[in-house]
Amino acid sequence: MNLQLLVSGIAMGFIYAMVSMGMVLIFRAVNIVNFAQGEFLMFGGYLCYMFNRQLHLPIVPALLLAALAMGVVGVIFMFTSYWPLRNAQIRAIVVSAMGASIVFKEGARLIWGSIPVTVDRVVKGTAVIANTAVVQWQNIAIIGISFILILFVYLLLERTFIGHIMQATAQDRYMASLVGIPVVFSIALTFALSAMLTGIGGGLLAPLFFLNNTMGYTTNAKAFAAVVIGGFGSVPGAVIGGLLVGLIEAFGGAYISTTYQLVIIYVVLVFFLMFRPQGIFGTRIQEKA
Amino acid sequence: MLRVRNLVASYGYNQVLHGIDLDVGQDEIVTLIGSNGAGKTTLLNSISGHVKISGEIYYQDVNIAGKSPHAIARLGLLQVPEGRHVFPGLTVEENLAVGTVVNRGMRIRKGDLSQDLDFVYQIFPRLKERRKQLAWSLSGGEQQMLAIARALMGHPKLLLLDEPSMGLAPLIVEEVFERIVEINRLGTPVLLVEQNATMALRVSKRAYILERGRVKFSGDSKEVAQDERVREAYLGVIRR
Ligand SMILES: Nc1ncnc2c1ncn2[C@@H]1O[C@H](COP(=O)(O)OP(=O)(O)OP(=O)(O)O)[C@@H](O)[C@H]1O
Ligand SMILES: [Mg+2]
Repeated sequence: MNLQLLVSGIAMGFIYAMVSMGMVLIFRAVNIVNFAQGEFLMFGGYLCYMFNRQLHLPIVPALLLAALAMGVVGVIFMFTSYWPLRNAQIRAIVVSAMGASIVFKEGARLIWGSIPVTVDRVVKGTAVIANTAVVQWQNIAIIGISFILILFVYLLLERTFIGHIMQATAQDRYMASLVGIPVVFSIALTFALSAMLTGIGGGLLAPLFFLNNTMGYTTNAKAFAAVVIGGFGSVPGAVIGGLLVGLIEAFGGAYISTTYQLVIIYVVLVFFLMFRPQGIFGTRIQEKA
Repeated sequence: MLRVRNLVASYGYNQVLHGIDLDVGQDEIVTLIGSNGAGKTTLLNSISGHVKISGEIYYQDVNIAGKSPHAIARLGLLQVPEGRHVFPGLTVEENLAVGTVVNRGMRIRKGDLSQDLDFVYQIFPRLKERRKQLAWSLSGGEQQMLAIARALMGHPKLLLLDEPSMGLAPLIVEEVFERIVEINRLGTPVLLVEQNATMALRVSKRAYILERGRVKFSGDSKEVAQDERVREAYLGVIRR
């Protein structure tokens, strides 16, 4: 077993988990697969670049500010791309999200140019594990920070009252308004949370892979695969799916081919669709007949 | 308490309610009867702010027409909709807790709800046994009890019930109606929409008969129950 590859695969996996979990949060809230989720990763990374490299803040406050800014971006996204179309056909909203992803991509190019950029590492240097593997500290930092953030969001949804209110809104919007929940507010909160979680991922990823404005596209494809593999709509499923995608990518890239990483992921996806279409975790909620 | 005046409601070009006048007084149970498609649900949804309307709806002398649904709910007008609408992925107790948003607002922690929970568990003891169960897995009758109990958690000033007996076994219907009377006796006025006219007329003080979006007949429930046309059309009594 190649330990070095394992660690970097898990680290990438956690980044994908933050994208796919963000995707699932929005899916559960409004029943739409958000094909602009990968752009949240890209845009969050660029915002982090702005705070860190252009405004010269240390990386940790830069990450926090980028996350807050992404919360605002998520709310703006919801009010422009989703809310006006909430009663329209689903495909109209999917197309609108795709349009928004172009706006993000070109917007990032206009603001920050098309030359790839990077940000500081949270932890510099490398560590030697078990006397053999040389692992970048940033990978360890990604694993630790992402794990904490994912757990935090999960507990927020499952264990707090505001989380239950958001779940109630996601499950039955009409009823939610009948118990006095301001539905717009509750949905906006979900979008903000989703964009923050995914956006921080961009800032964590940037020191390892340079940011460029088109990276959202492949990220969307991988996150979508992760969501399907994990079980559509399941939050733990999205996390496990993300981790799997990261690992498949790392090992597939090392032992098979780096050019065909995405193809390998999709081969696994097809296998899942053939033999376990409900994904690793089926859906938790069943409709009673 | 509630005064509806000249209420007109439409879905697109399809006008469904054509000038409804209706009152619910303090402490009353008022029944609304009508055949399928008469506009009963539309009337309740108009009151709770879910349908575009013209006309006036006075609640404690304030016109609430045009207010947003959650704002109307927060005034204490709580609707238990047709088909129950429990939150399927939340447990019984989580469903009940969400019912308190209406009078306590959105908040991070739910706080101490034991008094309210004790109150509704006393009315619906069966919910207490099921309190950790996910709502989708409850039986139809239990879901109906949960839907009513959730509304009670919000301390309703007026309860709008849409076909609480739908799909329930006769014994459970009996039980649900007993609870409705009990809730009313504790001081909450109720506007009750029902297909089960016999039951509804028995427990209510006054009644309205809705036909194709118009009030055809209204009055004391006892008188309504005696009316020939009503007996024939809604109580299944054949005229000799
Ligand atoms: N969302 C909607 N869009 C368009 N038309 C609607 C809508 N809801 C109801 N209608 C129409 O309005 C009319 C009244 O419907 P409503 O649901 O109010 O009847 P109801 O009296 O509650 O009937 P039931 O006893 O079957 O519940 C019906 O003709 C129905 O087709
Ligand atoms: Mg109805």
